Amino acid sequence: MVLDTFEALAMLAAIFGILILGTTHLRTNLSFYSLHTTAIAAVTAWIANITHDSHLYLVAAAVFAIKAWVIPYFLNTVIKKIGIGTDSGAFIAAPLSMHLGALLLGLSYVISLQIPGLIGDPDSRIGSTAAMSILFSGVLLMLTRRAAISQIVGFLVIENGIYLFAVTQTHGMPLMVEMGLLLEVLVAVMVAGLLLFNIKKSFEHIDVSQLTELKD
Amino acid sequence: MFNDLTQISAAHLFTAASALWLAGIGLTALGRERVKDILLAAVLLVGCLMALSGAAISWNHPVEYNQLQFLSFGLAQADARVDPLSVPFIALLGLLGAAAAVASPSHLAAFKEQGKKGHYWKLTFIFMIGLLQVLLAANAVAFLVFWEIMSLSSAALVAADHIRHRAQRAAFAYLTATRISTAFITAAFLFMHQNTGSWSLAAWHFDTPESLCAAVLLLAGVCTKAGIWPMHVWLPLAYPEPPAPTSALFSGLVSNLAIYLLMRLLLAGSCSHMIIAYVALALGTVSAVWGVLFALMERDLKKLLAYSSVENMGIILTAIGVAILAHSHGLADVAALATAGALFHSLNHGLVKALLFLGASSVERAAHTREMSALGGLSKNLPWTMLCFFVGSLSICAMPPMNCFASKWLLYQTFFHLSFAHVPIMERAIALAMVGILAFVGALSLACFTKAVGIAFLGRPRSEAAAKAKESPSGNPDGLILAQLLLTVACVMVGTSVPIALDGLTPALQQLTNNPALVGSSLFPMPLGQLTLVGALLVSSIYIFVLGGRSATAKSYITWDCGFGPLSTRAEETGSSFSHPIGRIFSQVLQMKVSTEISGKDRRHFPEIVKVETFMTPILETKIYQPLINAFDWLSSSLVRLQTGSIHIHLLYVFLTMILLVFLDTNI
Repeated sequence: MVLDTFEALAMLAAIFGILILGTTHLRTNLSFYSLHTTAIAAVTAWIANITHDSHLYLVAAAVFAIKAWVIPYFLNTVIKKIGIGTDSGAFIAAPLSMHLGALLLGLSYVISLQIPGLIGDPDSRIGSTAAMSILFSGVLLMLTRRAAISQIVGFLVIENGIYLFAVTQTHGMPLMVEMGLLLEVLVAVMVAGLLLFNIKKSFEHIDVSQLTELKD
Repeated sequence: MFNDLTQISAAHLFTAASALWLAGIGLTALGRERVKDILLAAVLLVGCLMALSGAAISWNHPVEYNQLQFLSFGLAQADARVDPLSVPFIALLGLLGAAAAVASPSHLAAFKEQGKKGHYWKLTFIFMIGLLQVLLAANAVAFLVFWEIMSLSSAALVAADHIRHRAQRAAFAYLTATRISTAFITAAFLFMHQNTGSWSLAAWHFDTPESLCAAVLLLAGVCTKAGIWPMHVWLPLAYPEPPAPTSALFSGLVSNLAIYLLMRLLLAGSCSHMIIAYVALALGTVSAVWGVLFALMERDLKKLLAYSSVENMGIILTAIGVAILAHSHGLADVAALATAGALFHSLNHGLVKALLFLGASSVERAAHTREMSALGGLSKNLPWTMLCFFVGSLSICAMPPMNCFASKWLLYQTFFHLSFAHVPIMERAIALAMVGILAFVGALSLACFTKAVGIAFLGRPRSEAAAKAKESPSGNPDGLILAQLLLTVACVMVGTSVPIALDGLTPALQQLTNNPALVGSSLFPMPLGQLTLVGALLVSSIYIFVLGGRSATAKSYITWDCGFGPLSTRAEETGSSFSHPIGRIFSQVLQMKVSTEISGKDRRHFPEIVKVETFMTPILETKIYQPLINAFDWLSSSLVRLQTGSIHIHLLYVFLTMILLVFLDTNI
């Protein structure tokens, strides 16, 4: 099977997503996340090149600037300030969860073969496989990691998966929608980062598995 | 020209009454306490008089209007339609509302310190608007909206005395019942909309096979709201709780509106499902017998009245069942009798039950209790209440010449006619059996109200409070008594002029039976008014000429002395001992157990302590509803365990749901 350039870039993003799962070192996680988002920005730019849709270049630039630079930079500062370098532990060991991520990539391919709207459209299949795999990686990250910062990264990865799905299936949403989503993610991460400081201050740790008061 | 004018003015009157009551809610914020109560009562009264005159104008001229069209409920507008069927109920609403308005100031004067008056008035006005608009609603959407307004405001009124545990429980039970009922009725409406494509109530006909499901749902909803066995358990809890004036409206109208809905849809919609008829007949019979048995055993005066409502609702439901049966057999005369019986009895029952509840409230106010074991001897201190309660009791026991006599007579006629009609032998047998059951229920209800009047009002006072009871705080008849007198007069007037009343109901009966040749008064050929006059003259002449001469030798005893001479308070007949024999006979149904414990040295001949205890376990509540509630509790406490509080587990739920949704949509 010969992949298109944008399909290859999408798969690259998926692989970076899986690599995030492979380590509990938070700064490495963020670097991989940054690379992963850069790949997604590149996919967007390539689709803009194909469709000659000028606003997609703008979106790609914004994604690159905000998601690949500002957010990782901000989270990096947060990590430094809190003084926690590695995740205190994962429910599934990091290598194991990386392999699980690879398996889920296969599952994503099977699922995307079955999605009713896509059956007649082989072009978008690789794109949707990559998007779904990124989604699964993000979920796995949120599910297995203890540190609250990993939850934020997981959330960002899920968001990237949804974005990639939208951009490969629809060839870009309107500019206003994209910009709105980006701004929302930015604000969400800012709020989550500030919340992290407060969690650290109140509980002396950022271990989410010990925050179990959310019930009657 | 005249017709147009009528239509406009009737529509204006109804809208103005609603608007006036709406303004009344605003008025509750103003004014000084005492003046305000009288002002608001006047507002309520004027609204009721407007509704009454609107009903009088549109009695023979159906009116359709949509003055409330700005209230668009999305699917349909708030169309209104005043037709012959709704008019008698509007008149009943006007009458009971007027009685409530008269009774309100004196009721509120007793609760000066509670500071709950504002809520009373607001809720009462909302309740009245709901009641009136439910009767006027022409389409299902408007009906449901106002039905909900009525249900919820009345639930809030049941919880008026919410500091007491009893009222909390009652409000909760009533809310549950009314939620279930609304759910069923909404489902039925949706079904009918699916079948007919119309929201108009008048466009719905229940004579097609696919309407059966809607009819069953409707029957279930109505039975829950009307308090038909086995969904009656909320009724004895909720009826006694609202404030005195509201309890008249509540007992007289809320259940009746459910019956009104049933008549409007199933009878006027020419329902032809035999299964509905049989189910209605069976449920009605069971609730009539069940209601009267429990009423007889009840020790609480208001609960007794509530169980009596269960009985009467059952009787009305049997009549509706027979009407459907006769209609599908093509027996026009039986259908006419049954319909007339159901309609007339529901109106009469509403009137009488409101009167009795006002009487019971008056007793409660005077003696500060409803327990019959603590009442007694009230006839001397509360002569007016005694008179009204006695007349109401006579009426509800179907004694001639009272109003319920006529409607029960119509029901007997229905069953007699059905048993001689050309229908399958089985149905004739059922009809004949129903005559017996009706007589049995009638006899027990006579016993029941003999107990209510005899124990509460006659004999000697059984408690200090009963001995010191006063008609009203000032000692003079006040609003509460006047309201009772108003309803008493209405009862007697209807009772002595039955043919006129039935003639008034003729348009409604024609609408219900789809039989334009029907004349109401022809169903009841007895000249009851003249008979009453002759009877009254006869009795008084017997009294004057035969008994009067010997009156000098007559001795007067207290009621339960049985001619022995004065018994002490503790030795006289009590409510429990009065109903004990019947309780023994039906101890299987009532789950009544009596334990006697005798102790002392020579127990046999000279017992020192004799302890008798009577237990009654309500079988339906303990055997069916309690396990259901327990199962529900268990289920909810098990479900709560899903909520662990761990973020990871909650994320897992989200993830699993997502996976599930993906797999549902694809064919993996």
